[in-house]
Amino acid sequence: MIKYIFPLYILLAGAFLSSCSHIPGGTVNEVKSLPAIYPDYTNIVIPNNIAPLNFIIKEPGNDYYVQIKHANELTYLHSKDGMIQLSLTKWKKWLKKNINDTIYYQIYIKDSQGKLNRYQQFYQFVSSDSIDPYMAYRLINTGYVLWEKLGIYQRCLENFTEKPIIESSSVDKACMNCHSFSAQNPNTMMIHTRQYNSGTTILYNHHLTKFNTKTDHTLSAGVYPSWNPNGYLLAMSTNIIGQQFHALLPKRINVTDAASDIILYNVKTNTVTTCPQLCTPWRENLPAWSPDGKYLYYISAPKRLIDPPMIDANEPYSLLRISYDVNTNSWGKADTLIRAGDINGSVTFAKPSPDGKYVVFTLTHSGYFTIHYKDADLYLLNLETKEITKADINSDCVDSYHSWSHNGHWMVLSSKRPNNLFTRPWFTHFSANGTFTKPFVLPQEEPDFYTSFLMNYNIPEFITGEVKTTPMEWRDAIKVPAVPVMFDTSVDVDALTGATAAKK
Amino acid sequence: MAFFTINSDRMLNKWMNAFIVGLFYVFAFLYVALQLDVSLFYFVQQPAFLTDHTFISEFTTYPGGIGQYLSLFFEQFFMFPKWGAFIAVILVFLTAFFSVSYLKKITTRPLILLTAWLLPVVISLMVWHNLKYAFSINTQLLITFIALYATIFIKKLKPVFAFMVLFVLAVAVYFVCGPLFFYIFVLALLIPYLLSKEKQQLIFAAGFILLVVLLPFITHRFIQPISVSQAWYSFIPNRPLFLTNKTPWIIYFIFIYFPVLLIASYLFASKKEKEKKNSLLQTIMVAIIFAGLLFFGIKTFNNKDERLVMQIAQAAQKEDWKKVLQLARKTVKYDRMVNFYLNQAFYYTNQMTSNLFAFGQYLGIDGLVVDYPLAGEICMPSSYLYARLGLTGNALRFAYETQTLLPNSPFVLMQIIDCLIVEHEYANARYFLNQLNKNWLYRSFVADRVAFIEGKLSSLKTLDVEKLRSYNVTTDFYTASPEFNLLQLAKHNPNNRMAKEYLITLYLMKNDLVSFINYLVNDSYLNLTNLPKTYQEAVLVYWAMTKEPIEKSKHIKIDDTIRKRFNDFSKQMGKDKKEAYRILCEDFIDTYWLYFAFDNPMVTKNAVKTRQVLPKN
Repeated sequence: MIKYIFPLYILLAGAFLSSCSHIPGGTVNEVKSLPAIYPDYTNIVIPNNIAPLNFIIKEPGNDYYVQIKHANELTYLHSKDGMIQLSLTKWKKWLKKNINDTIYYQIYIKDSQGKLNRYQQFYQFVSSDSIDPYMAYRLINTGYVLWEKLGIYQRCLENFTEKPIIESSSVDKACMNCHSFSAQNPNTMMIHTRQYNSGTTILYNHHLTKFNTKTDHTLSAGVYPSWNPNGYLLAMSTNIIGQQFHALLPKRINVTDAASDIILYNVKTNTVTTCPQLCTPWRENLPAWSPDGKYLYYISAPKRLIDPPMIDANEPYSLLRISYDVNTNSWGKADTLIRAGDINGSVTFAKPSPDGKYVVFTLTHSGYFTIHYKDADLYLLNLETKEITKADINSDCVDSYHSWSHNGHWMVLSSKRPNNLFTRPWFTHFSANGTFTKPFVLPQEEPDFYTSFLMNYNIPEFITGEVKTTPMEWRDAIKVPAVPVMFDTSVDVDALTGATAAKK
Repeated sequence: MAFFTINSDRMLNKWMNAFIVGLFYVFAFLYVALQLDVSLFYFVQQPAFLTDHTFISEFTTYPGGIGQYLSLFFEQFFMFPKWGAFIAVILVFLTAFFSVSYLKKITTRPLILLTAWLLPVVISLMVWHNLKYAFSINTQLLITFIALYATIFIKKLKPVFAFMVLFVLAVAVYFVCGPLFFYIFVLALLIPYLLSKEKQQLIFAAGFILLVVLLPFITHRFIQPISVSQAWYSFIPNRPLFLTNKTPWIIYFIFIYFPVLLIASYLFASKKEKEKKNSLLQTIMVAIIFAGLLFFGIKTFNNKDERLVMQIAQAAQKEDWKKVLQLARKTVKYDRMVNFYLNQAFYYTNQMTSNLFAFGQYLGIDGLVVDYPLAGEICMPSSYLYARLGLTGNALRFAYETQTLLPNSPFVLMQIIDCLIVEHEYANARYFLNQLNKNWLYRSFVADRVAFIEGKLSSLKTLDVEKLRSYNVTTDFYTASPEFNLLQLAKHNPNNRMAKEYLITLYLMKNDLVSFINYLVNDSYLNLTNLPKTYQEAVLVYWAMTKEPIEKSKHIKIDDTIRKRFNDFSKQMGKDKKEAYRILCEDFIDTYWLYFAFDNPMVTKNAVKTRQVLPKN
């Protein structure tokens, strides 16, 4: 949302909360536990350019004192209500001084009897690895079929500024999704709109054009895109998507495909192509390019036999990859990396790490649309050893869609923790040895922001800078009729799933 | 005649004007409070006024948004019919007051001033009959006139400085009130400049004309990602589809009347008008004309059917089933939603098995359950029904769909909270409680639910948590057709009488008498020797149409009266169809037989009308 107003309020809040106040003297009672704080920013690794991690102390008390130790300096904060909001300017200085060092927080709480309780200290380690300065995502309510207000937004991770890239209200309330960037580049991206002003609007060479990627030879318009790092090839899937609603909570909805195939769209030539390996009677889906652009990872499930599916239908997706030669536009042989039967689950959202050594994927009991599956967890596949390990960043709730920062040291995951209702972006640091650190949620200026924010963060994607194309430019591009794409006549297969029918 | 015209007492005229104005506004208050009932407006539009940054920022992204935000402050009081009426009428009164105050600087002609007093209230009373009317139009008009009134003082400044301040004020009016109100404002400023012969004044006029052209253009192209209509001519706020409707033509008078009065004022003023004493007759004539206009307006714009449907929906939401029955009797035209609410009222007043077919069930199942086709209008009614039936997961789903359309609607938030409480999802209920708590009108609801969640309250007055929990299914399934859903509910809990009655009714409405009989004879919940009237009627049809009725159905006992009536009905059926229907309607209007043979949508081919999804801007 655009923060047009209240800049004064923000400044005043910052100034007020950065004021110092020492810990009062007297007897101190030691509490042998960490203080409950919300969001949980205890004992984490943070990027050296992240926005202040404001929090609320969720322990009862009348006065709250925080002693922050950073680079041998001490800062004291005092709060009457437990809200701890840090000054952006000071925070930036602390981060700069503490790279590869630790910031310690010691919390003291004066209770109603005037007794001072000291809780166990917690820390935030400032990594030398910076995070991409921006992140794009869709904000949407919890509705499943209808929509009203939604949009694609970008948030500066170094402060609290959130701006819309495009909102549905600008384009006749079109539904929008599938925002995707080429190698986190804010100047090469796409957004898909549907229902009204439908099409795929692509920002390429500083120019916006809306295309209609649906052809007579494809099942649907292209969705679930992935950019080849060359910046002009887009792999997408074409799907027939259905929804089934559960009667019994906490399960809510099941999103499945009756059929799906994968296509490749060339922005330069405005053509769609595919290959028989990607358009089999099985359901090929969710393409993701390797960082060198030589492999396309995707998932695939057997053809559906009963439509719509039964309540406990098992729809297992396996992970495959296929080599691609961009110079000759030729495909290799599909190679199964993880067979669903072998891993006893269904693989989805495979994302190769920027160094090309790992693939992080989501594993669930069945299907691929995991954002409503409580059992969805993230796993790591080591491409050299083929070893699969469960990432130690998962929760009891949905842990699903994830994406890498351009340096490969940070990953954002969509998690519904702690209550399995709203999706929020969580960040985790990834080390060269293949380990993750405890995730922390996207910081907000108001620490209680998430307690009443009723929208979901969808498809969080890192970007290396701000998307400068204005919402007005996006609006104008989306509101014009879409340019039809051409289907590659040299390919001897349709992307009309399942049938794998040769073109007539 | 002479008595009226020769009266030269200025005071008398003044008092007469004041009396007439007072009369109109008192009438307006009484009419709004007693007849229009703004709580119905509140029920339909569900306004919420919050003060948090996220909420406010949404209103800053398009011209007129801030005015709409401010309007929500007033609209929230529409929850209370009398206070709401008072506030609505006061806002119109203030609008008239500021417009008259502005006009008084130009003219003292009582007829113009009286018109300026009366027109806003007359037009408002007409448009307020429309339950989807955007009340923000009134608020924005008031803000525009306050700004206009302020210009009286600004004009006293040095000309160039005054022009600059006015210019800024005009820009502010554009962003606060929207384009059409901006045009009224600029026109009011422009007229004196245009009438002036001074060069500098004409330059100022040119400046304002340029502003009118450039501001919407610049805003649309470079400032806000809005549509052309939002930048240039829209006065209806961003609202979900089910709250938009065709704007009544009279609304345009709101934008026209003041510039017309203004021009009239200048025209008279330019003739060096002397303070003329108004004739009492003229005043009374004007009052009569406006009274006539009001009468005509009320007659034209009072859509009784629409109001009745909403009153029934409101009563159903409050679970005042007797009122639903009472109001439904007044309906003239068939309405699917009335049918839907009435069926629930029949159930809750134990008439579903006796009187259901006394009402024309012209849409069959589609009037019993309304979850298809999915649209904003049917989501909350479906949510309430599924909650009552005990299928809380489905109730929650429909409530979420509505929350997507009306994110802060108190009714929607309350429903979500209650569903989550029934589902033991207390932690998730708290998100919505936190949001609802920002709406000060619902703090006591929030306090109750929080106390319940924290175990400080063992039960809730308005929610039978334990009963609904016992109704809820324990084995998961994909929700599907109403029949399938009801069957699962009825299977799960033998005490879920509502699910069972709905299921049996659904079979009857489908004319699926085999399923009906099978359910009847295999479910121990009914005594086959003492079946309700409608079921007995259906059994007779089943027997008449089946060569080999199932064995168990032979144990069903039918009252002699019903049997005799059925024979009479059957005799008439042999006649010409049209003629038979006419005769049968007289004696068998309350029977299942008439529905089965004539009114059933499978016979009539009646179907739910669907609409184009979204009107293009």
